[in-house]
Amino acid sequence: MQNNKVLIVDDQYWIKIMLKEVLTNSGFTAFVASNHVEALEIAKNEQPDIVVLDVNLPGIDGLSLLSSLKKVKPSIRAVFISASSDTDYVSRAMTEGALGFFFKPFDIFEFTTFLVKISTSGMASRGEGKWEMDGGPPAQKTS
Amino acid sequence: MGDGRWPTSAKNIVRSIKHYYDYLIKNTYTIERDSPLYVKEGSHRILIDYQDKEKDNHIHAFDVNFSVIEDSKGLLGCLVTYEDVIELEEMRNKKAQYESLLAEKELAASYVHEIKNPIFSIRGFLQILQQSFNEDDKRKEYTDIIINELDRMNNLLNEFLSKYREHTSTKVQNDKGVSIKLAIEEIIAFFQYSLELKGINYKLDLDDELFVSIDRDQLMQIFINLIQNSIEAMKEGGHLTIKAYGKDDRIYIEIKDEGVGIKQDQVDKIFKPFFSTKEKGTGLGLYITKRIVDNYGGSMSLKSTEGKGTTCYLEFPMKS
Ligand SMILES: Nc1ncnc2c1ncn2[C@@H]1O[C@H](COP(=O)(O)OP(=O)(O)O)[C@@H](O)[C@H]1O
Ligand SMILES: [Mg+2]
Repeated sequence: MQNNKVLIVDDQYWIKIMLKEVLTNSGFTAFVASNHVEALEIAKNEQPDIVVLDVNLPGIDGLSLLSSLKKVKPSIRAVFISASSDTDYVSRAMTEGALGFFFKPFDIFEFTTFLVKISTSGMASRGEGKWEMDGGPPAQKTS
Repeated sequence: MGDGRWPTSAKNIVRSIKHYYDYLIKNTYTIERDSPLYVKEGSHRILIDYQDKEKDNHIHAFDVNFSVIEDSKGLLGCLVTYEDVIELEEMRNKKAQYESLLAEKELAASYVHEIKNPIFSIRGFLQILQQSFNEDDKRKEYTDIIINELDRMNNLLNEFLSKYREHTSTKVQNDKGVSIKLAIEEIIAFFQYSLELKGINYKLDLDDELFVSIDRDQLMQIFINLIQNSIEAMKEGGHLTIKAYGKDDRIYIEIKDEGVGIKQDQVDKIFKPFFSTKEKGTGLGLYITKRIVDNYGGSMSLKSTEGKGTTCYLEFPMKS
């Protein structure tokens, strides 16, 4: 698979491990970080294609981290995950160019299918056809 | 009292205070600041109970403070300030109740979100585990049941969150969003008594059609914190001006006071948690306010001139 480097940023230990496991099984090379310092470090060294970002990180929110990550790798594509269903945050994330938004707890296979799709389609970080997945926007998948 | 002798009875004190108070609030004074004024004998503080039989028969408790003031030439008179302790107490209690209600709700919501994290890791690992079972394996069936039950749990949490929100929203919030005008007017009504007590005149210039999509209580919290800071800064009264208008899909709000202002070297500290220059301050007001504002895609800044006053600028995206 092309564009298969994924960086997962979540401060919840087992969520990081679980997502890494499932993405690795689907052919991705996954890296994990639990805060923005680690995330920026890995982004510099590994130049990931996709970042999976938790909205609530210690001391920083996902959107702010995304803008720092874009300075390191401008073409990085972002998918947000969040335990809270704050709809305003979703619309802000989407205008900032996020490709998807998943509310925890979500189905991890739908999630990987979505990541496979964006890594193979060469979808730009902003652009049309964001929601070409079956069943509408993944943002509405809450379980 | 003008001759510098203390009146004899508590009743008289209250009479004269009421007289001065009624008189003072109807008149405007200019204090000449040519020569410095001194508080000569320190201050005398007494607490008196007073029952106005003619009017309402309520018992009032006044905290009365006297200071003898002199200029360089001699005695000028005495300064009397008083506060109705009971009303003040009531107001404080009301405010404390309101704040603890808000805090409780925030706490409940954050617990719900915290519970969703472990639910997600359990659900995810179960899905991974399931892959190794055949369709006819009993264990496949069991893990399906667990996943369904987890989803049911999650639905209950969502239901709880939305019920909680419904329950507490009032007229300020409707499907158009939260009205900035109504929210500010409600908060001003809430602070009416302290404004009067401190001799603060307020002026509101609020456009009607300003709606934001913010949790109503969080919006109220923002205004409570900022207006409270302005009131606390205007110990000697002055004007409080609040403006709100919309422009290019953004809402602009300005809260301007004529208070003590902020020292230049403290400007970068005021948003830090626990930074306070007040004896009983928590130092959390601005910190929390900024967090809420940022969270909703808004921005805020303060401009202040020491000794002159402070203006707080808020900006929000307009609800589309
Ligand atoms: N309107 C204002 N005028 C003057 N100083 C202010 C104003 N608002 C805030 N400050 C300064 O910022 C500090 C922090 O404010 P805040 O976070 O609300 O905490 P607190 O009010 O509990 O002290 C205050 O102690 C005060 O020194
Ligand atoms: Mg304060």
